[in-house]
Amino acid sequence: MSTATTPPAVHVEAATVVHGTVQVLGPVTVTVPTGASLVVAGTNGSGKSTLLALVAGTLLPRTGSVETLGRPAHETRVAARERMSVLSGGFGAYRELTVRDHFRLMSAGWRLGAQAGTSDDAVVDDLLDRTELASVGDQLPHELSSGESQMLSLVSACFRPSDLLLVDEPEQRLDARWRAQAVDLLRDARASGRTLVVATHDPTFREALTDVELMLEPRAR
Amino acid sequence: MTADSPRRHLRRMRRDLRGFRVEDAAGDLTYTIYLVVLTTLMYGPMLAQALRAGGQTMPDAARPSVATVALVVGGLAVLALAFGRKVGPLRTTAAEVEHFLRGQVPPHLVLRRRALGAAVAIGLALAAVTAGLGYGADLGVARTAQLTALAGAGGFLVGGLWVRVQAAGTRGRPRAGAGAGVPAPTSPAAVVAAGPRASAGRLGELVFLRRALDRLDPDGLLATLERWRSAGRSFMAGDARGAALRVGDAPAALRHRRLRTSTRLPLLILARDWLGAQRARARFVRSLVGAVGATAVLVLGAGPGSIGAAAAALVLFAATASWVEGLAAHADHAASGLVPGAPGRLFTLHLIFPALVAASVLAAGGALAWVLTALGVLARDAAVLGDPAALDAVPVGERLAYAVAVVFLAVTVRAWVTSQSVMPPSVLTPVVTPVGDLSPVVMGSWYVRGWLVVLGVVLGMRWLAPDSGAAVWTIVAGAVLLAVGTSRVSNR
Repeated sequence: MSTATTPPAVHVEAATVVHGTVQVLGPVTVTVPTGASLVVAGTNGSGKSTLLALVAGTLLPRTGSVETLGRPAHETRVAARERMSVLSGGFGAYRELTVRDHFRLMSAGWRLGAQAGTSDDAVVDDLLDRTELASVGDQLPHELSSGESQMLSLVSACFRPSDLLLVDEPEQRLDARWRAQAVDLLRDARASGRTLVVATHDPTFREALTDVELMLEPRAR
Repeated sequence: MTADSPRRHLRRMRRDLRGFRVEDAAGDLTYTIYLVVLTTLMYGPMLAQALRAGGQTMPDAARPSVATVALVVGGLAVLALAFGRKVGPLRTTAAEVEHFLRGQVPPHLVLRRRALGAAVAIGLALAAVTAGLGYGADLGVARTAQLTALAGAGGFLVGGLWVRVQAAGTRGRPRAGAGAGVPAPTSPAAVVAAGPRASAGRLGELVFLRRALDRLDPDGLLATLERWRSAGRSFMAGDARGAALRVGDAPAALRHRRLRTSTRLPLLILARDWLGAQRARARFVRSLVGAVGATAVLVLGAGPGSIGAAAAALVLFAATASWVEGLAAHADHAASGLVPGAPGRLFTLHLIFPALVAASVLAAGGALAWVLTALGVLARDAAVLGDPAALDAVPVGERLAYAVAVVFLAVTVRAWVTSQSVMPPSVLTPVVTPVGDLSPVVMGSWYVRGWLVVLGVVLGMRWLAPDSGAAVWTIVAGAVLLAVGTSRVSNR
């Protein structure tokens, strides 16, 4: 019988980040098992987004190490890009595509309709209805309100398949109704077996999503 | 107590507002004057020396004819008008909109000096260009003076149109209080019917666009200017695409047309790019018209190193900008994961659409050249297309191959430019020379690097490979090298 152990989805070991002479993060150590969700909390400037950038592999630690999906995070970013979905600082939308077109593109590209045994249109219609984005389905990205843009970004990040989902402050610019939708989306993602890393200020998200919690200390001012 | 006339009110308010100007504005103005004076002193002599040296070595065949002078000046006038649709000379501020333009004072009183100034400036600019070209072409003093006066007068009218075009773009409802006093004239006939004294006043109103200015929407004007200021900030920060997106028209056509999906990624990306082009169709159609015309010029015989080939290559390069929207968006957000695939592969897939458009343009350009030749419509001008005797010796096949090579070059250079839209910090490194810091030149060159490469390669053929066959292979080899470099960047 094989006793091989699955590596954690995310393992951060004594990682620090220094900008110039200022230590903006760390040292931080945290492990997130596959399929669990890590909620990162802390005051503004405590390093939540910096930690997400480390886990996404877009930033290298000054000291310590960061591993995601079994290899150094900066290698995962290149070699296993398709297994990671990241929402941090906005969403790169095509400015000539409507909201519906974006979801159709994703559904066809990732073959979501074929996998569900239905058409891309059916998948997209269902998604638009569930997320209450149907009313803006024919709008272009620059015509959306800031809340609608944030919801489009979040739904897109959750819609595409991935093993690891990184989300930085999903509650930004959302009203109470859409915040509840966002919690449901992330809970569904975790229920489907994905690993989540969520940085948030919102207690509702913390309460609903926390398997592992990391409270970052405020930086000395 | 008597109420102020609008003019008095305007003067008094302007005087009062001067006292509230923030110190930054004075600092900005001082810095701008300093920058302009310093730049002129530093680069003016270098430019003058380069022009003198160029003029001495310029072959007679390359000197502009009267037709070329008219073409250049006319082109500049058209460019001014096209630019006026986006932003014109009527600049304003939030304070001015708040205190003068929201109904308190007729807008033409506030803006007419700016309108008149713009008309005069355009007139002077076109006159100066004409005088310079006339001098360069050795047309004689009398002929040059005639052309200069004509261009100046035409420029003045173009300046008026420039203001009108901008005002039309921000037109709102006529404001209460607008046009107080003499009713605005509506036509030249109405001006004549009003009697000599009133006619003079009304003619002035017509020339200085009173009606157009009074119908202007100040909030629209302010929003446009804010957009351009924001684009300017992006430009200065080295974000070329950010600046372009702020000033470009947002696509809005055919929004109900659905994206055609396919499980094959190349077809899906192609469908996305085709839909993107359709939704920005005005720009796309303009690019096709320009590119087909430029290709026809190349096929007709604008050979290696000629001015015609250089102009055609630049038009082609400009046209490619609207073919690579998908590529540019991908280069901006390769990691957003809308579709699966490595960034390098997706970059390549986004090149399918421009490649197909380029092939269609070549076919259409070749057909247009054939039709023009068959009809004998296009006279061969030695200054524009090259030496007619030499042209006849070049087989059609070679000319076609040369056109293919230049189109290939334009698309490749566009892909290279698109792959990196944010200026790398190294470009800002000071370049110390005996004449001062040349880093602004490096920075400017970075922005226009695509134009410089295309122009350099096509003009360089005059010396590197003067015959068409060698030029084709040289251009293709250069473009392939560039493509290899671009693929490395796109895979990061």
